[in-house]
Order: sequence, then C-alpha cells, then structure tokens
Amino acid sequence: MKQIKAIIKKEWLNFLGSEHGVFVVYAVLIFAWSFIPLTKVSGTGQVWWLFFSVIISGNFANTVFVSERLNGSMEILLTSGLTRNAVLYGKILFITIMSIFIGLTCCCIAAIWIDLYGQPRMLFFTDMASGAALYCVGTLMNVACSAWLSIRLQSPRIIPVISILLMAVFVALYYFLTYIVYASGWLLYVILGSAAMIFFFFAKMEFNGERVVHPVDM
Amino acid sequence: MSEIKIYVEGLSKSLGKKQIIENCSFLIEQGSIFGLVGLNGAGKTTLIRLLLGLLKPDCGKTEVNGFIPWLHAGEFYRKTGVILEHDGFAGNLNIKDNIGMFAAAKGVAWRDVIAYIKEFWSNTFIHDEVLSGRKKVKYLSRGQKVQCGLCRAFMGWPDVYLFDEPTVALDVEAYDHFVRMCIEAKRRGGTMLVSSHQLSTIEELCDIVGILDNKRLHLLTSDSAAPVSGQWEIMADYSDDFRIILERCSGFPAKYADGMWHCNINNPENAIPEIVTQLAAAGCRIRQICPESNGIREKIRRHYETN
Repeated sequence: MKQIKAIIKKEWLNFLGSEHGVFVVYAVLIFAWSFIPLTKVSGTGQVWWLFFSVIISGNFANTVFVSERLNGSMEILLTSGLTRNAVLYGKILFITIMSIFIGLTCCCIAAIWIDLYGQPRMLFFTDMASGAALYCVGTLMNVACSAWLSIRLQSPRIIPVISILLMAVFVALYYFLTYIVYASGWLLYVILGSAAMIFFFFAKMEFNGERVVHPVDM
Repeated sequence: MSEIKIYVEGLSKSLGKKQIIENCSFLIEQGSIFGLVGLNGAGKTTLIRLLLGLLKPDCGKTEVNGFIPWLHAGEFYRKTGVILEHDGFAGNLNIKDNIGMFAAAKGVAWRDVIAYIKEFWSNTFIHDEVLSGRKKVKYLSRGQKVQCGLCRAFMGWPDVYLFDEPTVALDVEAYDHFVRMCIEAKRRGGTMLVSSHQLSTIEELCDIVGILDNKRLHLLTSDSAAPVSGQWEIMADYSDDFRIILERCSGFPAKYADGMWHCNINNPENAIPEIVTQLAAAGCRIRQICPESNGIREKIRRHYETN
C-alpha cells in the first residue's frame, strides 16, 4: 500500500507541476460538457458521458503511461524498488481517481444547470446518477485499456484514437443488441465492466513481461 | 574468498530473430568493479537489462545478489543501484520530490537521505536543490540529470550497482565525484558492473574487464597484480652504456624514442629490479617503468585484431 501511495503522490505532484494551460483545458472541458445533460436527444444523453470519460482518462493516461514509456523512464521506475504491480495499480488508481473527480465535478455543475433551467425535456437527477455511474465504468475500461496498450503497442501515441474507437465499438454493440433483442440498460455496464477486467488482466501480464523495455516509435 | 555477487552461466538472449548474447558466463565477487566494454550494438545494454530482470533470458542461469532478477523481487531492486540510458525522473517534479519518491521506493528514510546528501553531495548543486531548491528536473541540463541519477543510484549504499554509461555528459568535477563515489561504494563492499565507452573510466575504476564481442563475453586479464611479460617502457636518460645494460639484463635489443627506452622483458619479476639497480649504479635517472601495452585501449585493439 505504501508503494502504491508513493506512485500516486508522484503522479499527483507531476500533474500539479503541469503548465497552467493544462488546467485551463480541463476547466473548459468540464464547463462545456456540463451543458450536455441539457440537450437530451433520443436517450443518447448518458452515452455522451462515456465519451467524456474517454477524453479525460485518455488524457491522463497519456501522461501517466504513454509519456513514461516514450521517454524511457518506465524502466527506471520498475527497477526503483517498487513492485511492478504497485506501479501498475498506483498509476491506474491515480487516473481513475482524477478522472472520476473531474467527471463528478462536471455532473455537479450540470446539476446546477438543471436546477436553474429545469424543463421537462431535460434529464432528471436519476438520469444524472446513472450517467455518472456510466462515466465511472467507462473510465475504468479506458484506464485499463490504456495501461495495457501503452506496453503492448509499438506506437503508444495512437492510444487516444484507439480508446475512442473501442468505446464507439462497445456502444455500437450495445445499441445493436438493444435493437435485435430487448437489452436492459445494465447491459452497457456489463459490457464495459467486463472489458475493463479483461484489459486489466492483459495490462498486468504486460507489466510483468519484457515488452515494457522494448523500443517504441517516437 | 569473497562472496560471489553476480553469477552468470550460459546466458543467451535473442531479440526478435537476432541473437544478441550467446552462452555468456562470468562471475563478479563482492567488492569488485567489473568493466563492460564493446562496440555499439554489441549487447552491453541488453546484458545489463538481463541482470536487472527487465529482459527474460532465453536460457542460462543469472543470479544477482542472491536473487533471480526475472522474478522481479522488490527486495532485489532495493539493494541495487541502477543507471540506465534515461534518467527516469519526472520532469514536472523538483529534485527533492524526485529523490524523495525513489527514497520511499528503496525504503530509505528521508533523514538518512538528508545525511547522505550532506555528507557526499555537499559540493554539488544537488545539495542546495534537495535542501531548499524548487527547480523542476525538466529544466536541468543533461549532465545535471545524470548527476541526480548517480545520487539516486548510490542512495542507501546498495549491495550491487549496475551502471550503463554512467559518465555520459558529466563535466570534469562531476566525473571526479563519480569516481570518488565508486571508490566509496567499493570500500563499503559494493559490487559494480560498469558499461562504458570511455576507456579511461574503465581503466581507472575496474578490477576486471569484459569485452562483449560477437555475442560472447571475453574476459581481459588484469594487469594490476603481477608484472606482465612483453614490451616495457623505461622513462630514463639516454646513453650507450644504459643501452648495453638494458640489452644485457633483458636479452633483447633496446630502442630509445620519445624520452624513453622500449625493451622486451620476458621475466619482469627478476629482470626489472636488476635493470633498476644496474641503471642507477651507472648514474641513470629513472623516472618511470611500466609495461608498454598496459592500456585497456591497447588490449581491446589487440582483441579485435586477433578475433
């Protein structure tokens, strides 16, 4: 646990030391996305949260996993005395916590808009809660996927694109299943949750393999 | 006999279809410094990565400090100082936070880190930065980052040190400091494997030298113990009488060039004292005597010529 805390602290300080522009971008994203629940279109309002999770967690994964792989500092981290699992868990936990914090902040601001400008066509708070839950599951799936691909791919820079693509595939799969047979809303949670677990298993395997020091395309 | 700290037997490794290391065997005793040299792409970094457990051997046995590296035991890494190609620091963190993170990983208490910095790094920028500085690592020069890496590697005085090109980008002062730290680590019983293209570093520090060539490791014999047979250089005055003495004692013709005598000596243990005594008695001022091909550079050149 101490080792995981050391990794989380390192990532947190690294995030705090980022350029001011990074914080501005996050603020703008949160503000812009908070209006999404005001435009409930054919039941797709909640799905927008999924793509928000891809953008936020993908961005964090880019700094936490991809850049460390690209600049070669991962091998030093793995030989620092921390166990490989601690490094993986610490990084995944950090991205998850940060992404969920940002997502929930966005939800809270959205709730304010609903409260201020509440109209029948808008989402209700219960929808908001399920949207937030979907956001969390989406974040987990995306973080695990990024952790795995950051080691697996020779060109880890394309991970954000793959993440969006994967999310689109899962959402399309869900809608396809809903279309041909009746599928409960929970099915999307199940699909994303299962994918998260599978990706996490792959990530753990890769982190304990030797591909972690293989050369990458800059 | 000292404890064996690094034991490698029949180690082979290929990356993709290319065989990098083949049937490599060597051992390093506690308190020794092993110099690893070889041409670019010979497999030095691969060998260090194998010893660190970053790569898995295809076959063979590797044991470092009693651990099998590929098992990735945290305890193994806590007892190993590492310098690799990249510094491994988080650019947005200052030196203090970076060092603090690695100290936590190694299980070294912060007060011990401060004591270590004050004792061994007091004349460097690291001292001020760790105690009061706020400079982010990304703003450091390359040489400064390497120094920070060395500070991290020696922190806690681990049992084993695996250094891949540790002197790259170091200035004269930093280089001297690195040498002093290596000697201190050795004094504390540390065992070191240093890979470098700077042969002066290898010559200055290492007890044993291995040359990685054509996938195999060839050990070069050490000069430090007994004098070697072959060409010797005797920095002394010139006189025909001195030439006669040299040729009589060595049994070979002697040549004078660049202010020194060059002479083949087959039995240096007996011949050198005899030469010194007779030259001194004849009034010759001797300033230095050493084997001509003492340099590691020469040995490596010879190795490539014969292979």
